[in-house]
Amino acid sequence: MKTTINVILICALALLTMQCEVVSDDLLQSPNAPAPESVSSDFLLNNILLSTPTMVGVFEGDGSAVTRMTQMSGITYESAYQAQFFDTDWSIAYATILKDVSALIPRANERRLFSHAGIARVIRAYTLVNLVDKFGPVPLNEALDETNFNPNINTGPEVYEAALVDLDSALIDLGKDEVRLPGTDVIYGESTEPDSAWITLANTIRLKILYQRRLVSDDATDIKNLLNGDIIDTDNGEAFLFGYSTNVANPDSRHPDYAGNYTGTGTGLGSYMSNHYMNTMWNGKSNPDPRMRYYFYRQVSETTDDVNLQQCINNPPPTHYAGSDGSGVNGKDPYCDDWNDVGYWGRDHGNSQGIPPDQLTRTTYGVYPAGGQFDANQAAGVSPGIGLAGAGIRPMWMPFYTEFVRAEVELAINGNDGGAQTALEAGIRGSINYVIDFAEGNNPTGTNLVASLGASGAVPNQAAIDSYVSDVLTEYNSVSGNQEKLNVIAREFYLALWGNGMEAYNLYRRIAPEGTPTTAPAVSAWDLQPHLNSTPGTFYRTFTYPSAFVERNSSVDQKEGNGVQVFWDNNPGGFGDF
Amino acid sequence: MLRKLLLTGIFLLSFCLYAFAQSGTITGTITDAETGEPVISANIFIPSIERGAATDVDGEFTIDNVQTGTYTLRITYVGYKQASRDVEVGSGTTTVNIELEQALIGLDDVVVTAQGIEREKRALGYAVSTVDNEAIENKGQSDITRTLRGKIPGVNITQTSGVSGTATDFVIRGYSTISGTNQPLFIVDGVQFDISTNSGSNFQDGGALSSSSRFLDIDPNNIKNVNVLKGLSATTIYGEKGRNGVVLIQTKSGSFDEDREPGFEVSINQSVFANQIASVPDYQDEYGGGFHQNFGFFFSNWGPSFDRDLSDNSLFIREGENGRNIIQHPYSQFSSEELIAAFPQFQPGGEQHEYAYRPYDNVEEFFRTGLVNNTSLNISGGTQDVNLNLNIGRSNEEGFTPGNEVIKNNVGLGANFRAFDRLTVKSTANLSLTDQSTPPIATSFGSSASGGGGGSVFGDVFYTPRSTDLNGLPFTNPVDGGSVYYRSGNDIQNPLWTVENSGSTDNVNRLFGKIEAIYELSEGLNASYKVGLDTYSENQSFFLNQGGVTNPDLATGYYNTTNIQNTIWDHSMFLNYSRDINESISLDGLVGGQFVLEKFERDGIGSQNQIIFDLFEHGNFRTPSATNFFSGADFGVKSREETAGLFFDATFGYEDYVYLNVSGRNDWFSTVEPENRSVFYPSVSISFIPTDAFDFGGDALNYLKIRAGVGTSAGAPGPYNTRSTLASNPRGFLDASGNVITTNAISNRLGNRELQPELLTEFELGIEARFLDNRVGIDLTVYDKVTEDLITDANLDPATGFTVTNVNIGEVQNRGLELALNTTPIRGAFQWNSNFNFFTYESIVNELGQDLDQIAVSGFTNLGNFAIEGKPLNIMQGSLVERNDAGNRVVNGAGEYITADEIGIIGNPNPEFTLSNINTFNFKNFSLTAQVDYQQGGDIYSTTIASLLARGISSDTGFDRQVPLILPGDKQNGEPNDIQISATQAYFGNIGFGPDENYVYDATNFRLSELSLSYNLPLSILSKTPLQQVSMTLSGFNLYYFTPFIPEGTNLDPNVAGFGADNGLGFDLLAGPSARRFGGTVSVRF
Repeated sequence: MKTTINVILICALALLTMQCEVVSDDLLQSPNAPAPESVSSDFLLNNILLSTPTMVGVFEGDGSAVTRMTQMSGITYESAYQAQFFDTDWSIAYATILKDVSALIPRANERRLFSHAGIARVIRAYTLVNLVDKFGPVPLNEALDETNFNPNINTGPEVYEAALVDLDSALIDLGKDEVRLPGTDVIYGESTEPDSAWITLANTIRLKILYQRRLVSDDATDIKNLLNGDIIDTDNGEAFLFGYSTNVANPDSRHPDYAGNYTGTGTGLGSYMSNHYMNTMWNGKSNPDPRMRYYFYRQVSETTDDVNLQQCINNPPPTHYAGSDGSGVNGKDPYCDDWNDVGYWGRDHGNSQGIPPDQLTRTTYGVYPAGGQFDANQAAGVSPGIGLAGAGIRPMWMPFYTEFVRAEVELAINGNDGGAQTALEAGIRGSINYVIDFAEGNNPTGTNLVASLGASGAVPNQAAIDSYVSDVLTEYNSVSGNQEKLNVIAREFYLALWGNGMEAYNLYRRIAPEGTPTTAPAVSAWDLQPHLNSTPGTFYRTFTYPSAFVERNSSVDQKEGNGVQVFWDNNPGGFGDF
Repeated sequence: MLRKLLLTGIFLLSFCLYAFAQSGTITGTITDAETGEPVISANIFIPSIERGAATDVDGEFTIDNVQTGTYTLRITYVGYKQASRDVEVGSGTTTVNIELEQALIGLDDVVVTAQGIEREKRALGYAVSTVDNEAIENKGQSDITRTLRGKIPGVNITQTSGVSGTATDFVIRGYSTISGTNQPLFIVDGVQFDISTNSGSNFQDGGALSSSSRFLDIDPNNIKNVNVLKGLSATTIYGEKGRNGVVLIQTKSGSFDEDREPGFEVSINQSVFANQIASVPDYQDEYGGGFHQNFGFFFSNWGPSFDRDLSDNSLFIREGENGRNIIQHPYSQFSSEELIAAFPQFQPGGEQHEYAYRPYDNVEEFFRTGLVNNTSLNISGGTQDVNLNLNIGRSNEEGFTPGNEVIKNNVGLGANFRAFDRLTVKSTANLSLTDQSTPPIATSFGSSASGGGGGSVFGDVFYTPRSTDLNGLPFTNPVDGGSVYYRSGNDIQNPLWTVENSGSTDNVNRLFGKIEAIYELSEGLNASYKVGLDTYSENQSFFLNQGGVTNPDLATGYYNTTNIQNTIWDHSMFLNYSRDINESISLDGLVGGQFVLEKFERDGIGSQNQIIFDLFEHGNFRTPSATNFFSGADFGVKSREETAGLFFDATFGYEDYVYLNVSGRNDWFSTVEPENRSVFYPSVSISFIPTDAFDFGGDALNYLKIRAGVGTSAGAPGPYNTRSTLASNPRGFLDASGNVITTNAISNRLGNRELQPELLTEFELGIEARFLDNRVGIDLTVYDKVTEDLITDANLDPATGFTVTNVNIGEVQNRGLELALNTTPIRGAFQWNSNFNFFTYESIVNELGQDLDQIAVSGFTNLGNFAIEGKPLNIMQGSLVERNDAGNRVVNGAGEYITADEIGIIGNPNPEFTLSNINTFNFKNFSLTAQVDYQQGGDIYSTTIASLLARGISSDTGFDRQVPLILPGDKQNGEPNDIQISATQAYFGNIGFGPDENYVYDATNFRLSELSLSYNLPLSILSKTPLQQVSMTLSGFNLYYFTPFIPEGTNLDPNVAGFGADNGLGFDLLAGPSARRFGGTVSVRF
């Protein structure tokens, strides 16, 4: 017995000694992914800059839909979006861009890569402002802390200030002598003076921040100085945009709107163009908008008479639609396909019917900015590879945007009607020319699409452009009162913003076109189509917090409703609820 | 080897010599002690000379040529207690008549417990269930776990679907962990056996729901028995892997009957089964395709009735026979000019332009009757010192879906060799080749495959409009081989095209086995060393020809191949001690150490842009990638885990009626930081048998055992969760100049250095009793298991900079009751045994901690199984219909339900209880078995039901559709809803599709899961042949099920796991039709 116990003890001891050393210590770091220390500043910056247009794409889609640039589906505003829909916004803004920026800045400073740091700060400022504009108060001070799983929010003004501070620091960083420039710069590319382009952008974003909050604070002097300084406008500075390519797989590098709609089976599920936006371009002036063939691509030359393809065609317009009594075209709310007979096939605001097999007949994205097809009356269904094959752009800040801002500022802040008119014209011409040039070679691949289609006949001539401009200016001068003039400027900005619904959403809430109906439509220069439902609920003055935010963060509750306004929006409550 | 041969030779020689000595004959009759009936085929064996015989039809036996002397006869027969009798053999005939007492199966058996220790069942302080080979073999089912359904109390087995070769969810005593596995540890012949389901991507992608669980590699016909250790008291010394219970499988090739007669025995089984789909919906044949009573070639079946005059429809041509509408062929309506041109025969003027608007038997004829063919051969035998078992099995199982097949080849060889007196060597080796193929299967929400998958054969079949002639329409574009189907946009992939042009394959080559050496150090003290190896390579592929339409990004074809290598090395050393310390106290003890190494490697390529149609070689694709198109994840994954453990187990017995068991184990895990690496967990249990301690007298209470135990265990996290990583993407973007842009990002998964193993504690209390002259036996267990420091993938607010991390939080409490009731209502020549297995459990999330409101366990972030404090684990959440203060559902101005802003609870998938009843009737040579299963409660979210209702196609929607409907609920102003909507609107957007809560049904079901009749050829016939046993069995499985709360026409079988084999339950996502099998088996033994 004693021997037995001894044997057991010895064996146990032997095993114990063996086991402790047997389990390796080096099985903790994953062999599948590098350790965080091996990060490259260049590649980190690449990720930040590639994620920025992705974020804008995610943010702008909802802005486009609620402002009727694209079609919104939902019987009410509430039912159009569920909180979970916004998780992607949150994730890309915080967990990708802001986190990587936070990782890059100290690392870049340590290595004297000041351009990297400066660029990262500009992007952070831009991201923060977008977050506030879309969601209102958002986490800032307590965000991005791996020890705090429940970061609380900061107010909108605080976040705006933080963005301004970032821009100040960015200017300092960009002014320093760095060890070397970033290996690649997917926004400004091989520019000889890359820092200067980013400095111009930093100033432009500062301008964006200041005029955005113009209703609630007084930055008149700063705005004036910035407008006269080094910013992106039609005279100066490179556009803040991102260029896609035609590569289909590994990775798909095409414009998302192209990839989602120029498919073998036609346009993607639920991608409908807005009847309101198209009607404004088609019927708003004495001639169709010169940009229309660039913005939209028609797959057919006339709309259908088959009720199975378009359910609305046999139904009368809802009685709360202006023009349901058959009155004039301008200012009339478009309904179904009543407003055109050339194949512009979209949907009305809030139409949430099922999807009939119209993927190869409905109107889809055109050449600008999605890199799709130029509409030369082909009346043929889409297929992969046509047009610019997806080599479109994500417009984040185009030079002509600034001209519209200048017009708004001249009129609303400086009271300078003449200056406003000049800027308005510059904005319109800038927009039209850019769009025309875009199809003729000023695009990521340099392809002259119009020439390759042999479609120069479809390109608007100078007279058409001039006629458009003169229509606008005549209207501008004919309407009375600053608000109505502002409505004209805003509408024209809105028409130039195709591809960037976030700015349109901001514009709409800032200008709050007077006379906009809440129930019964009145006529104003910028008059949006009402929702198909006469009681659509509350318009999104800011969007619902993402479900990933409120469900996983115990410091925050969902907002009280859609009517919660962003801090810079002091327009009346209830505005937009139609 | 030489020595082995020599020993064998000596043995054979001495055996022959016996024959020449003076000898006599033993003869006698074996009868049932109670009935006096002869016992047929009982075994009589004389261990000392290794001779024996079996009784004939009259219960008589004869053993002749027995050398004179005194022998002990041992008589064994299934269902009876073993009997021994000392016999003195003279030179003449010695007659011995022996009565056998019936034994209730299992109660006095010796069972295999943890680490292969054999213990008398009476000594165990915890529950063990045993299933014998009869219940497993010849079921026409390649997946062993599916044959165990309903046979073990406390075990829930759910199939992913009835598609052959799909995964199975095997859960013992409910769910205890949120993110760790809830599947038990499988031990085959004493060594760890991997049962992973290696899905290439997630449940939304084509083919992901077809992946098989690796217990598919076990040949059900090579099983001797299955022991299930359920509680922690039983499994502590298996270490953390045993925390969900342990399934001990003894193969025929790895089990050796030490007392068997020398010689060889051969048995052959051949079975053939038909495999059919059991859950085809019952379709209505009143209405055809369309919407709002308008005819159209649509997804939906809300068109006009077949006898309505369609003459005002633009597609109408003429009235045909029986008033049928003849309309233009769907292929004349394509939007694409190229498709029109490809099918001139269907265009106006073409010979097949006319198409009858009538119901077609489209879905019914799409499926087939598969043939399941299974052959197995078993040879076992040997000498006193060497035993060999060889098992060869081949099965070929055709699924009910065209293109679905599983082919298995299994070879198992086991050897037991007593090298010399004190050393025994056991070795088993099993080869398993499993080839599975199936058309793509992915989740669907009723509109093709969801989530950008590669297609799903079921998604587009089940709601085919009645007027679509699925089997009559060409499915291939003659120009380019692409899919064509009835919609003008050609935007649904034709299921027949899918079957021909897409699918997934899964080929596994596996080797598993062990070598074990046992050395007897002294009387009652053994030392042993065991090394087990389980290694397999699994090659999976997903292929899709160009021309598919489900996923436009894959329209140019896709092919991916992945190669998985998985290896487990399992080394163990034991010291085994067994001795009576004094007259009343016995001790059985064990100390040991174990080292387990698990390695997993996966690599693969995914290629897009096919060049030559129907050629699947990566060289035939233009764009290869090292990341999976579906998941975006790298194919390449490596992991390595090491676990070392030291353990002990001691059972003290007092007077054979009180037993105390103490055990404990210390583990060291390689997956956590060194400071958290070592965990010790003890357990203790006690067994007391009052019927042996006191004399109760009479036949009312024959046996009573009370047992109690408390056990603990740990659950180690998966590897690489303690450190953060970098997300590096070499090809983040390709710009217009052709530059590849590489990106680095800080991974969204936050590493947690503090991560620790989960801790589990379980109390268990049980009673085993037999009453009424052993006619009724019960085995009742209640348990209460608490898991603390749950390792959980906590989704983080992205504002933290991370989206997910692994944390130790909260507590889940899982309580349950399992009851086995065995009765023999009729005993004797006609015998009826009726056994009931009852199980109920409740897993409650007591606490989540860290201010987390909820954790998504399985599924999507807004629809799936969740852990919510105070609620049952796996509660289902999804979107709700908005409700007003009165609690009524609210409709909008159009009369349709409003979806509430936030998700909420839509159902509880945990059943209230499950009950199985297995009846066996024996009469003469016939035996009839019927197993019925019942599940009370448990919700199921079903897109099958939703889409069949929403699209107006199942017989539930065959009502008069002209009558408008009013949805129950209130208007927004609080008044009762009085807004009339069309049937189409009501069903399409509200009752079928609509907020998630409307997809949920009570899954209560009753099932005839097995019915079999077998016949043994009488020995009187066999005695003239070399055959020892011939039996024939006719059997059927899943022959009928009844679901009272599921819309009848949808015919959904709720035995389905929509998210595949993971922790989720209660979801059917249009990918889980179930199978019904029937066929026969012939077994021959000689």
